[in-house]
Amino acid sequence: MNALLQWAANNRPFLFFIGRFLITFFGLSILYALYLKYVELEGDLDLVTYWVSRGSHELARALGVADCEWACFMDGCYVGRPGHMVNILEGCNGLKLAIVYAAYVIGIGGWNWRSLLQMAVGLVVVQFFNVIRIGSLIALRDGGGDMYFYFLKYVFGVWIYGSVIVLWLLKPRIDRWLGQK
Amino acid sequence: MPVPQGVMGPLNPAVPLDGGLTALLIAGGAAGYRQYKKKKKA
Repeated sequence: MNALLQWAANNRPFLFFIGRFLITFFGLSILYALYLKYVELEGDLDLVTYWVSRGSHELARALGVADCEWACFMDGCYVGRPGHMVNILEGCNGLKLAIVYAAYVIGIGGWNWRSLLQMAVGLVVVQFFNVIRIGSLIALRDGGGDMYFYFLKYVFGVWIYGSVIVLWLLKPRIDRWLGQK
Repeated sequence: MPVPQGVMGPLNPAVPLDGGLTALLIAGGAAGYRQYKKKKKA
């Protein structure tokens, strides 16, 4: 017990980081859950899923998916060629990953303009990676074969989670660019 | 507007990101610890 207290006393800044990290994560998650409840009551689809599916549709078309269709309903969007469509649900939109990234940024730097700027840029970067992930999956599904399932299960999982980890690792450098010591 | 019958199911698989969020939170904690250790040494 004494060893634990000693460790806590020696690592107080880290414990403050963990506190801010978790409080921000749960706070932003609750706000997002409230937003989802609101759009559900309105009989609408959340805007993040809408824009991610729209971006994925455009990317799939750019990747050569001819006659790529896009239809959104209350529970998500369907994108692709008839018979080869992908279902983009709220859980596919990547916002929860952006929330974890934002919680880390706030955990390290606190609530200031640099952290808010990095949160906004992080949201765009994670969604950019997510649109590439889903757009490519639509193209792979259109092409047929087992590659789609392999990429869905392994490659693009690493791709999207990796985008958050790379952003975290780049954070000290980004802080230096923004003039933070 | 309801989803038309026959559109859901294995014909149109979802592309979710489930399962990794807890692991990502733990990775975030580890990355933060690494950063504080570096700062402490400097």
